[in-house]
Amino acid sequence: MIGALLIFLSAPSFSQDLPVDTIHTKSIHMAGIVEESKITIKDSWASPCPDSIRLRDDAYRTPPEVVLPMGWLAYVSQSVIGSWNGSYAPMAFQTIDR
Amino acid sequence: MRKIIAFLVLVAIVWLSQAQAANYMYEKNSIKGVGYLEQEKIVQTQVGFSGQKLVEHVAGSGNVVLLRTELEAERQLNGSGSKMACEFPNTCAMDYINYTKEAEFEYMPISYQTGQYDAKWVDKLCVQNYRIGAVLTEMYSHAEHLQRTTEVKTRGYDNSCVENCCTGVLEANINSNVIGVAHIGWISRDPEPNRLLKGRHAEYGRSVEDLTGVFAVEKFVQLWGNSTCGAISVDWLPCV
Repeated sequence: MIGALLIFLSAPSFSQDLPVDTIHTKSIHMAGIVEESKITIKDSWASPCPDSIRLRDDAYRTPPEVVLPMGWLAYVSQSVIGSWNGSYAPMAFQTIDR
Repeated sequence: MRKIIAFLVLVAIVWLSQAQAANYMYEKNSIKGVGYLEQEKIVQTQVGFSGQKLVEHVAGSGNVVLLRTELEAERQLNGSGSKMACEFPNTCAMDYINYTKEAEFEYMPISYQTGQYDAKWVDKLCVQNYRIGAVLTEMYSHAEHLQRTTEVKTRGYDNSCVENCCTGVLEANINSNVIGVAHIGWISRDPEPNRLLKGRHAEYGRSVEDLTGVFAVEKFVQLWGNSTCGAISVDWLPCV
Protein backbone atom coordinates (compact mmCIF):
# COMPACT_ATOMS: atom_id res chain seq x y z
CA MET A 1 0.00 0.00 0.00
CA ILE A 2 2.78 2.41 0.99
CA GLY A 3 4.79 1.36 -2.07
CA ALA A 4 1.85 2.10 -4.36
CA LEU A 5 1.47 5.51 -2.72
CA LEU A 6 5.18 6.28 -3.28
CA ILE A 7 4.92 5.32 -6.95
CA PHE A 8 1.83 7.48 -7.31
CA LEU A 9 3.56 10.47 -5.68
CA SER A 10 6.71 10.11 -7.79
CA ALA A 11 4.86 9.79 -11.09
CA PRO A 12 5.01 13.53 -11.97
CA SER A 13 8.81 13.63 -11.49
CA PHE A 14 9.24 10.59 -13.77
CA SER A 15 7.15 12.19 -16.46
CA GLN A 16 9.43 15.26 -16.47
CA ASP A 17 12.38 13.07 -17.50
CA LEU A 18 10.71 11.99 -20.72
CA PRO A 19 12.21 13.54 -23.86
CA VAL A 20 9.97 16.35 -25.05
CA ASP A 21 10.35 18.21 -28.32
CA THR A 22 9.68 21.92 -28.24
CA ILE A 23 7.69 23.34 -31.11
CA HIS A 24 7.83 26.91 -32.37
CA THR A 25 5.26 27.99 -34.90
CA LYS A 26 5.18 31.21 -36.86
CA SER A 27 2.48 32.48 -39.17
CA ILE A 28 2.68 35.70 -41.14
CA HIS A 29 -0.01 37.04 -43.45
CA MET A 30 0.48 40.38 -45.19
CA ALA A 31 -0.61 41.77 -48.54
CA GLY A 32 0.97 39.41 -51.08
CA ILE A 33 3.05 37.63 -48.41
CA VAL A 34 2.45 34.41 -46.48
CA GLU A 35 4.80 32.45 -44.27
CA GLU A 36 3.79 29.34 -42.38
CA SER A 37 6.60 27.94 -40.30
CA LYS A 38 7.02 25.16 -37.75
CA ILE A 39 10.30 24.45 -36.00
CA THR A 40 10.71 21.44 -33.75
CA ILE A 41 13.60 21.57 -31.31
CA LYS A 42 14.47 17.91 -31.01
CA ASP A 43 15.25 16.49 -27.62
CA SER A 44 16.82 13.40 -29.11
CA TRP A 45 18.31 12.30 -32.40
CA ALA A 46 18.53 8.81 -33.73
CA SER A 47 22.06 7.91 -34.75
CA PRO A 48 22.58 7.38 -38.46
CA CYS A 49 21.70 3.89 -39.58
CA PRO A 50 24.91 1.82 -40.09
CA ASP A 51 23.51 0.51 -43.38
CA SER A 52 23.55 4.01 -44.78
CA ILE A 53 27.29 4.34 -44.35
CA ARG A 54 28.23 0.97 -45.73
CA LEU A 55 31.17 1.08 -48.12
CA ARG A 56 31.25 -2.56 -49.17
CA ASP A 57 29.58 -5.73 -48.02
CA ASP A 58 32.16 -6.21 -45.31
CA ALA A 59 33.26 -2.64 -44.58
CA TYR A 60 31.54 0.18 -42.76
CA ARG A 61 32.54 3.76 -42.05
CA THR A 62 32.49 4.71 -38.42
CA PRO A 63 29.40 6.88 -37.94
CA PRO A 64 29.87 10.33 -36.39
CA GLU A 65 30.08 9.99 -32.65
CA VAL A 66 26.93 11.29 -31.01
CA VAL A 67 27.41 11.77 -27.29
CA LEU A 68 24.28 12.08 -25.21
CA PRO A 69 23.34 14.57 -23.98
CA MET A 70 24.09 16.43 -27.20
CA GLY A 71 27.12 18.66 -27.37
CA TRP A 72 25.00 21.18 -29.23
CA LEU A 73 23.31 23.93 -27.32
CA ALA A 74 19.85 24.58 -28.60
CA TYR A 75 19.50 28.20 -29.61
CA VAL A 76 16.60 29.73 -31.46
CA SER A 77 16.34 33.26 -32.72
CA GLN A 78 13.26 34.34 -34.60
CA SER A 79 12.54 37.84 -35.75
CA VAL A 80 9.77 39.24 -37.87
CA ILE A 81 9.39 42.76 -39.13
CA GLY A 82 6.52 43.96 -41.22
CA SER A 83 6.06 47.54 -42.33
CA TRP A 84 3.52 49.71 -44.03
CA ASN A 85 3.31 53.20 -45.42
CA GLY A 86 6.53 52.85 -47.40
CA SER A 87 8.39 51.44 -44.39
CA TYR A 88 8.24 54.78 -42.63
CA ALA A 89 6.54 53.11 -39.69
CA PRO A 90 6.83 49.53 -38.47
CA MET A 91 3.53 47.71 -38.47
CA ALA A 92 4.57 44.66 -36.48
CA PHE A 93 7.74 43.63 -34.77
CA GLN A 94 8.53 40.47 -32.90
CA THR A 95 11.76 38.90 -31.73
CA ILE A 96 12.23 35.70 -29.80
CA ASP A 97 15.63 34.62 -28.52
CA ARG A 98 16.01 31.65 -26.24
CA MET B 1 32.30 43.26 -106.76
CA ARG B 2 33.49 45.27 -103.75
CA LYS B 3 29.95 46.37 -103.10
CA ILE B 4 28.78 42.75 -103.08
CA ILE B 5 31.55 41.71 -100.66
CA ALA B 6 30.79 44.68 -98.39
CA PHE B 7 27.09 43.74 -98.44
CA LEU B 8 27.85 40.11 -97.57
CA VAL B 9 30.14 41.20 -94.70
CA LEU B 10 27.38 43.46 -93.41
CA VAL B 11 24.84 40.62 -93.58
CA ALA B 12 27.26 38.33 -91.72
CA ILE B 13 27.79 40.94 -88.97
CA VAL B 14 24.05 41.44 -88.55
CA TRP B 15 23.45 37.69 -88.43
CA LEU B 16 26.22 37.09 -85.87
CA SER B 17 24.97 39.92 -83.65
CA GLN B 18 21.64 38.10 -83.35
CA ALA B 19 23.27 35.01 -81.90
CA GLN B 20 22.02 34.57 -78.33
CA ALA B 21 22.99 32.81 -75.15
CA ALA B 22 21.39 29.54 -74.11
CA ASN B 23 18.22 31.08 -72.73
CA TYR B 24 16.83 27.77 -71.51
CA MET B 25 18.79 25.86 -68.88
CA TYR B 26 17.96 22.47 -67.39
CA GLU B 27 19.96 20.18 -65.15
CA LYS B 28 19.02 17.05 -63.27
CA ASN B 29 21.50 15.11 -61.19
CA SER B 30 21.74 12.41 -58.57
CA ILE B 31 24.80 11.80 -56.39
CA LYS B 32 25.53 9.12 -53.80
CA GLY B 33 28.80 8.14 -52.20
CA VAL B 34 31.43 8.71 -49.54
CA GLY B 35 34.07 11.40 -49.77
CA TYR B 36 34.44 15.15 -50.09
CA LEU B 37 31.86 17.07 -52.07
CA GLU B 38 31.88 20.68 -53.22
CA GLN B 39 29.23 22.01 -55.57
CA GLU B 40 28.26 25.46 -56.80
CA LYS B 41 25.38 26.62 -58.98
CA ILE B 42 24.84 30.20 -60.15
CA VAL B 43 21.92 31.04 -62.44
CA GLN B 44 20.47 34.35 -63.53
CA THR B 45 17.92 35.41 -66.12
CA GLN B 46 19.07 39.04 -66.45
CA VAL B 47 22.32 40.87 -65.80
CA GLY B 48 22.73 43.33 -62.95
CA PHE B 49 20.07 44.07 -60.37
CA SER B 50 17.15 42.65 -62.35
CA GLY B 51 15.51 39.36 -63.28
CA GLN B 52 15.70 36.11 -61.31
CA LYS B 53 18.85 34.81 -59.63
CA LEU B 54 19.81 31.63 -57.80
CA VAL B 55 23.07 30.86 -56.00
CA GLU B 56 23.80 27.55 -54.31
CA HIS B 57 26.90 26.24 -52.59
CA VAL B 58 27.32 22.82 -50.98
CA ALA B 59 30.50 21.48 -49.38
CA GLY B 60 31.46 18.89 -46.81
CA SER B 61 33.01 15.52 -46.16
CA GLY B 62 31.40 12.24 -45.21
CA ASN B 63 28.54 10.23 -46.51
CA VAL B 64 26.32 11.62 -49.22
CA VAL B 65 23.36 9.37 -48.61
CA LEU B 66 21.38 11.18 -51.26
CA LEU B 67 21.73 14.32 -53.35
CA ARG B 68 19.12 14.86 -56.01
CA THR B 69 18.60 18.21 -57.68
CA GLU B 70 16.58 19.49 -60.59
CA LEU B 71 17.08 22.98 -61.93
CA GLU B 72 15.21 24.67 -64.76
CA ALA B 73 15.59 28.30 -65.81
CA GLU B 74 14.56 30.32 -68.81
CA ARG B 75 14.87 33.85 -70.14
CA GLN B 76 11.78 34.79 -72.06
CA LEU B 77 12.19 38.54 -71.49
CA ASN B 78 14.74 40.96 -72.79
CA GLY B 79 16.60 43.51 -70.68
CA SER B 80 13.70 45.96 -70.71
CA GLY B 81 11.28 43.36 -69.31
CA SER B 82 9.42 42.77 -72.59
CA LYS B 83 8.82 39.46 -74.34
CA MET B 84 11.49 38.25 -76.74
CA ALA B 85 10.46 37.72 -80.35
CA CYS B 86 9.66 34.03 -79.87
CA GLU B 87 6.57 31.91 -79.49
CA PHE B 88 6.60 30.41 -76.00
CA PRO B 89 4.20 27.66 -74.91
CA ASN B 90 3.04 29.68 -71.89
CA THR B 91 0.49 32.43 -72.47
CA CYS B 92 2.35 35.17 -70.58
CA ALA B 93 6.12 35.39 -71.18
CA MET B 94 8.27 35.29 -68.04
CA ASP B 95 11.72 34.82 -66.62
CA TYR B 96 11.67 31.87 -64.26
CA ILE B 97 13.77 29.52 -62.16
CA ASN B 98 12.38 26.24 -60.82
CA TYR B 99 14.56 24.45 -58.30
CA THR B 100 14.01 21.19 -56.41
CA LYS B 101 16.46 19.52 -54.07
CA GLU B 102 16.42 16.43 -51.89
CA ALA B 103 19.55 15.71 -49.87
CA GLU B 104 20.92 13.83 -46.89
CA PHE B 105 24.47 14.31 -45.64
CA GLU B 106 26.35 12.72 -42.74
CA TYR B 107 29.56 14.29 -41.63
CA MET B 108 32.74 12.28 -41.01
CA PRO B 109 36.42 12.86 -41.71
CA ILE B 110 37.63 11.07 -44.83
CA SER B 111 41.22 9.90 -45.30
CA TYR B 112 42.87 8.89 -48.52
CA GLN B 113 46.49 8.05 -49.20
CA THR B 114 46.81 11.40 -50.93
CA GLY B 115 45.18 13.54 -48.28
CA GLN B 116 42.51 14.11 -45.70
CA TYR B 117 39.19 15.95 -45.77
CA ASP B 118 37.53 17.08 -42.58
CA ALA B 119 34.73 19.56 -43.19
CA LYS B 120 31.29 19.69 -41.64
CA TRP B 121 28.53 20.26 -44.15
CA VAL B 122 27.71 23.69 -45.51
CA ASP B 123 24.65 24.07 -47.72
CA LYS B 124 23.62 27.57 -48.82
CA LEU B 125 20.84 28.64 -51.12
CA CYS B 126 19.84 32.18 -52.06
CA VAL B 127 17.06 33.01 -54.52
CA GLN B 128 16.40 36.60 -55.63
CA ASN B 129 13.49 38.00 -57.58
CA TYR B 130 14.33 41.60 -58.54
CA ARG B 131 11.01 41.98 -60.40
CA ILE B 132 9.05 41.93 -57.13
CA GLY B 133 11.89 42.76 -54.71
CA ALA B 134 11.87 39.40 -52.93
CA VAL B 135 14.74 37.28 -51.65
CA LEU B 136 14.86 33.92 -49.85
CA THR B 137 17.85 32.43 -48.03
CA GLU B 138 18.19 28.89 -46.70
CA MET B 139 21.57 28.16 -45.19
CA TYR B 140 22.97 25.32 -43.10
CA SER B 141 26.49 25.25 -41.72
CA HIS B 142 28.56 23.18 -39.26
CA ALA B 143 26.10 20.37 -39.98
CA GLU B 144 26.89 16.91 -38.63
CA HIS B 145 23.73 15.54 -40.15
CA LEU B 146 21.49 17.26 -42.65
CA GLN B 147 18.39 15.92 -44.27
CA ARG B 148 16.49 18.39 -46.43
CA THR B 149 13.91 18.83 -49.12
CA THR B 150 13.46 22.19 -50.81
CA GLU B 151 11.27 23.36 -53.64
CA VAL B 152 11.59 26.95 -54.89
CA LYS B 153 9.89 28.66 -57.82
CA THR B 154 10.54 32.25 -58.81
CA ARG B 155 8.97 34.12 -61.73
CA GLY B 156 8.91 37.61 -63.20
CA TYR B 157 6.22 38.29 -65.80
CA ASP B 158 6.24 40.31 -69.01
CA ASN B 159 5.16 43.95 -68.52
CA SER B 160 2.55 43.79 -71.26
CA CYS B 161 0.59 40.75 -70.06
CA VAL B 162 0.57 41.24 -66.31
CA GLU B 163 -2.81 40.15 -65.04
CA ASN B 164 -4.33 41.68 -61.93
CA CYS B 165 -1.11 43.58 -61.14
CA CYS B 166 0.72 40.26 -60.55
CA THR B 167 4.24 41.15 -61.64
CA GLY B 168 5.89 38.00 -60.27
CA VAL B 169 6.05 35.39 -57.52
CA LEU B 170 8.63 33.70 -55.31
CA GLU B 171 7.41 30.60 -53.49
CA ALA B 172 9.18 27.98 -51.40
CA ASN B 173 8.50 24.79 -49.49
CA ILE B 174 11.25 23.87 -47.02
CA ASN B 175 11.48 20.70 -44.94
CA SER B 176 14.67 19.83 -43.10
CA ASN B 177 16.20 17.93 -40.19
CA VAL B 178 19.55 19.24 -39.03
CA ILE B 179 22.20 18.79 -36.36
CA GLY B 180 24.11 22.03 -36.73
CA VAL B 181 23.37 25.62 -37.55
CA ALA B 182 20.52 26.87 -39.73
CA HIS B 183 19.80 30.35 -41.02
CA ILE B 184 16.55 30.81 -42.93
CA GLY B 185 14.89 34.05 -43.92
CA TRP B 186 13.25 36.25 -46.52
CA ILE B 187 12.90 39.93 -47.32
CA SER B 188 10.30 41.83 -49.31
CA ARG B 189 11.39 45.23 -50.66
CA ASP B 190 9.89 47.73 -53.05
CA PRO B 191 11.57 47.17 -56.45
CA GLU B 192 11.35 50.91 -57.14
CA PRO B 193 13.70 53.24 -55.23
CA ASN B 194 11.97 55.82 -53.10
CA ARG B 195 12.86 59.50 -53.45
CA LEU B 196 11.77 60.20 -49.88
CA LEU B 197 14.08 57.43 -48.66
CA LYS B 198 17.08 59.01 -50.42
CA GLY B 199 16.93 56.47 -53.24
CA ARG B 200 16.72 53.44 -50.98
CA HIS B 201 14.15 50.70 -51.41
CA ALA B 202 11.34 50.57 -48.88
CA GLU B 203 11.25 47.36 -46.90
CA TYR B 204 7.81 45.82 -46.46
CA GLY B 205 8.65 42.59 -44.66
CA ARG B 206 11.50 40.54 -43.26
CA SER B 207 11.64 37.23 -41.43
CA VAL B 208 14.86 35.65 -40.16
CA GLU B 209 15.49 32.52 -38.12
CA ASP B 210 18.81 31.41 -36.65
CA LEU B 211 18.89 27.94 -35.15
CA THR B 212 21.73 26.09 -33.45
CA GLY B 213 21.16 22.54 -32.29
CA VAL B 214 18.98 19.65 -33.35
CA PHE B 215 15.96 20.79 -35.33
CA ALA B 216 13.19 19.84 -37.66
CA VAL B 217 12.02 22.71 -39.86
CA GLU B 218 8.85 22.91 -41.91
CA LYS B 219 8.29 26.13 -43.79
CA PHE B 220 6.18 27.52 -46.58
CA VAL B 221 6.98 30.97 -47.94
CA GLN B 222 4.90 32.82 -50.52
CA LEU B 223 6.07 36.22 -51.76
CA TRP B 224 3.88 37.68 -54.49
CA GLY B 225 3.97 40.94 -56.43
CA ASN B 226 0.30 41.25 -55.56
CA SER B 227 -2.24 39.18 -53.69
CA THR B 228 -4.11 38.48 -56.94
CA CYS B 229 -1.63 36.10 -58.56
CA GLY B 230 -4.07 33.18 -58.70
CA ALA B 231 -2.72 29.86 -57.41
CA ILE B 232 0.61 28.87 -55.91
CA SER B 233 3.08 27.11 -58.19
CA VAL B 234 4.92 24.97 -55.58
CA ASP B 235 3.54 21.70 -54.31
CA TRP B 236 0.62 22.46 -52.01
CA LEU B 237 0.77 18.96 -50.49
CA PRO B 238 4.45 18.38 -49.67
CA CYS B 239 5.90 15.47 -47.70
CA VAL B 240 6.48 16.30 -44.03
